[in-house]
Amino acid sequence: MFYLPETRFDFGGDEYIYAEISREMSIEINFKVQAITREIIRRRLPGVIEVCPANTGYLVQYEPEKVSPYKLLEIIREIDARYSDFSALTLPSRMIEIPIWYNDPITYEYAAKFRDRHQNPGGSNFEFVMKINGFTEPEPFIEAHTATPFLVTMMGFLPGTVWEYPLETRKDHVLQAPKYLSPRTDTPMRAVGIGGAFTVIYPTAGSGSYQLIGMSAIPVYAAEPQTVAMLGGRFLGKPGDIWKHRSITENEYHKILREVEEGSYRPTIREIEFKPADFLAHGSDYLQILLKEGGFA
Amino acid sequence: MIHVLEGGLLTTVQDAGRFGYYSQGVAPAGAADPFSFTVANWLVGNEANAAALEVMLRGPRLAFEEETVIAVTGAPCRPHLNTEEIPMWEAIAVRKGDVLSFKHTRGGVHAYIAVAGQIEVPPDLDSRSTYLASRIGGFGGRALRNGDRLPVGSLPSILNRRGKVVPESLRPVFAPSFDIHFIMGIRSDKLSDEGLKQFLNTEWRISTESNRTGYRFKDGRIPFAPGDPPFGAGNNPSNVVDYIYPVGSILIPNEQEIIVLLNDTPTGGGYVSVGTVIRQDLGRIAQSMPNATVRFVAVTLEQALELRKQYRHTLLQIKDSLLS
Repeated sequence: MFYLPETRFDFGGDEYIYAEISREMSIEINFKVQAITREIIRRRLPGVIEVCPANTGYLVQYEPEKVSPYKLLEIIREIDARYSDFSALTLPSRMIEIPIWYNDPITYEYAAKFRDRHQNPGGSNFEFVMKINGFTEPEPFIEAHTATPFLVTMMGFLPGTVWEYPLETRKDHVLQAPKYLSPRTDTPMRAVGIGGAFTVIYPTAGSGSYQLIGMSAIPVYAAEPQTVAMLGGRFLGKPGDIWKHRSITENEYHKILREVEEGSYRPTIREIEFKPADFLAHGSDYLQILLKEGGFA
Repeated sequence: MIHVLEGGLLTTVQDAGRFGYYSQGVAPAGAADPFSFTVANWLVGNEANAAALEVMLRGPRLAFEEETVIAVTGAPCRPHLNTEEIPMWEAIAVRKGDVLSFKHTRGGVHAYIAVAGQIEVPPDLDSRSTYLASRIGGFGGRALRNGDRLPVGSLPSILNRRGKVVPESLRPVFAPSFDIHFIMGIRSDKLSDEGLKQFLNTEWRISTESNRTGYRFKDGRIPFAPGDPPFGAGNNPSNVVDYIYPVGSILIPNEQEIIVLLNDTPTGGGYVSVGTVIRQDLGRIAQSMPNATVRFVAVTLEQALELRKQYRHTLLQIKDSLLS
């Protein structure tokens, strides 16, 4: 039903197998990643320590004393081939609402502080990203970043960081941005960034190279007990989640922050069943149904 | 309990590492030099992955509030019990009130202090290792500070550990110049042929910007292959679509620099990689000082597994010698 190129496998040192399904990002490739990695996890293969979905591939760590790397590669190759076809796949997933204060003064301040590393040192990162994506006003850009839900295609970098990619079959509809010429040495916690075709929310303060377009009111990583209780664990995200951004005002941003601090805020999370084939066939019509069922529309 | 009189430069609680959370961005952390760490635990009768203290360059000053047995291994650091120097790689009895202190490490970076019964901090995400960047595990997710009090577990019959010693011939030597073995692959095609040749032929020098997250190497130049970055990667020639990095990844963030990712690694990103360093050489890297020089040597998986077998064989020889 779908044409998918052949996966390339590499040994990473003596403990890893890296599978690269494609060089280029597309939503179809990541559906395949989700399908294959879930099956590898489900099989509980002896000697396998970690199974990590990536944007266009996946990484498996193993103990060579418990499983022969060659034998394991054979098993993974077989799973990879069989689960590449996701036409009948249903992904149990979660839809999560992310309230974002776009075009805010906090990220503007960081843009000013690190302007010597930026390709367009003048203004805010928001304005830079807005313009290179062909928008002249903030509102239509924010609309583009909030209307389409995003798939959590992988997690990594620091604990809790998700990479989000829009549920968008047309690549020319995907918002994109170059990364900083040289990474910032600091980024505020909860900053929302775009780099390449991906959106991330910074889990903790630290270095970073994505263009900062706003601030999330809710954390994606919990270090304190009350935040752990709020997120139901250390991390908000899971690979395969579907995240829906919502634009909020400065007032609402501070209100949610206060509720998060008091421990009374509960993120909007709905369990859903996502069918990649239905999405590819019906696009935004299918997403609208999902959003409505989840109470997001 | 152990009373921390001085925390030292960066003293952390570490075990063999945290596994099962890499897919959510959690680095394994764990002892930077697993060989020295494991041996320290065996010397005092602990399990191989028991929690011990990892010292970086300048060690702590510790007062013991009860009798126990300890061992110091890793980078030479001239440990002293009260005023007397004590040997490394040997199980040492300490009495209540004894104070353990160190000189600056020489010829290596990390030393290990194992205590019989382990440093009994509560496990966090299934491990006692400290992951500093996100304050996970260890002693409150941070390095030790003056005035901390460390809980110590108990072990039956510790006294028969006294005097156990690792034979000189089996102790690691940290030479200032060494080879790093790696398996080529994972995005290595982004390098030009010339770039790969330069990478292999250069004697790389370790930069001062090296730590538990990664080691940086300079004094070389690696041209990238021409061509546009793939869709989704951004527009820098060193970027590929963000992916999950194996620990030990050799990253090329720009044409003048190499980073080898260690236990506190960022778990993913978009830098080109030449390949992955084999497991036991990561501990060797973590023991090297700035300005040490290295060469990268490409091996096959077959050769890597053979080196791994030799490494484990040495460890088992030590284990056997300590049991007898």
